[in-house]
Amino acid sequence: MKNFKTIAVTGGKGGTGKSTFALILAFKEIMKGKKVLLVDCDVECPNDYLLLGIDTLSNEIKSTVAYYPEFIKSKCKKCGLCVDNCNAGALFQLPGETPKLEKDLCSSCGVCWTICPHNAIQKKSEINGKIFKNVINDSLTLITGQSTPGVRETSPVVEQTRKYIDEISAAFDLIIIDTAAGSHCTVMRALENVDLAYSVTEPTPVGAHDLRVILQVLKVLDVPSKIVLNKKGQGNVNIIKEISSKENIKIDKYIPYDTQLAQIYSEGNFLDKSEYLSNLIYQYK
Amino acid sequence: MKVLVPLENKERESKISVAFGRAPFFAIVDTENDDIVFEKNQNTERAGGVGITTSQFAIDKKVDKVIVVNIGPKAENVLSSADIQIERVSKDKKLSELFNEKF
Repeated sequence: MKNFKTIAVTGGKGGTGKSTFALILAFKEIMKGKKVLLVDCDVECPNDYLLLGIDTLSNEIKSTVAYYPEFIKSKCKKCGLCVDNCNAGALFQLPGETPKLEKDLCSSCGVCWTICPHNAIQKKSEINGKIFKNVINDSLTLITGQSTPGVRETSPVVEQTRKYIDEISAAFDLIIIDTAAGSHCTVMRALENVDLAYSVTEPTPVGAHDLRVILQVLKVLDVPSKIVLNKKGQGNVNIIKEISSKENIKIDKYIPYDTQLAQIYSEGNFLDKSEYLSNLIYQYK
Repeated sequence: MKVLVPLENKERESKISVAFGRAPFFAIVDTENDDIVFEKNQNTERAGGVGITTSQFAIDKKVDKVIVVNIGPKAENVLSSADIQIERVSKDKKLSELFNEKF
């Protein structure tokens, strides 16, 4: 592997083995003597800590925040400019009244408080998540971003987790970012400015469909990418090969379909079995 | 009374749209004189928040009532805070049938 500093593990479809691959990759690199920072950016349901045998996340480093508009009634001239320009459709206004916010729809974009000509909108911060740090051993540290349950717009949690990583990354040789499933804002925030992204997929029609989508996202974000084929030996590998040749993105590695791996996953003891696991990634030819 | 009806097409024989926020067209009917004004929905391409923006449209047009097949909780909340009545009808109704039954 070339000397990439920040690598993302993504893939589109859920359950293709993103976290599994991220952890195995970490073990492999640790065996080569590297100091690895694993970052769980699947903030709506992070689970890398479970696979590393941690029952409950407790070492909180800091909170993440979202900003919402708060109207200063004495200053508001009821002009409606903020309502007209709210791209999320989160603001509405009854005749002659100060606008109101439907908080669930607000993306914290800041257009309203930026354009208000009367300075009648102030930023109000609200905690929307937490960042945890677990030093697993001398070679492996886990950072977990976790959004507060019920928070709809979770990409700011990912953004702020990435920002925190920038502060501590100098102490590590390699940073592995484990993204959520899907291809929405939360995933994109995790993929921005990484040196390489592995798209983990499985040889099924849904795996293929979502691979196609995530490869498009990576192209738009200008992130170099490679495909990882999981569960090799099941399904139909040709549908993945077709995408690989059409998009000109190499199937770089594979993980065979392995019942023992599933067993280890279900028990959540990746750390104890790290030697067995690190031999499960093969170069695809 | 002014009534807003989400429509599939811009005509009197059009079916009522099953969507509220993403309906392609609206009819605004003045029940005093049976005047109809058709409006194209400007919000159909928005990523989200269409229930709110369409409710805002109803508020700005000063309607008293909306007749819908379905409506989301956020739109319902905005409309009721503006004292706009919401009436539900079954799908497949035509605007012309509403004229006979409701207006």
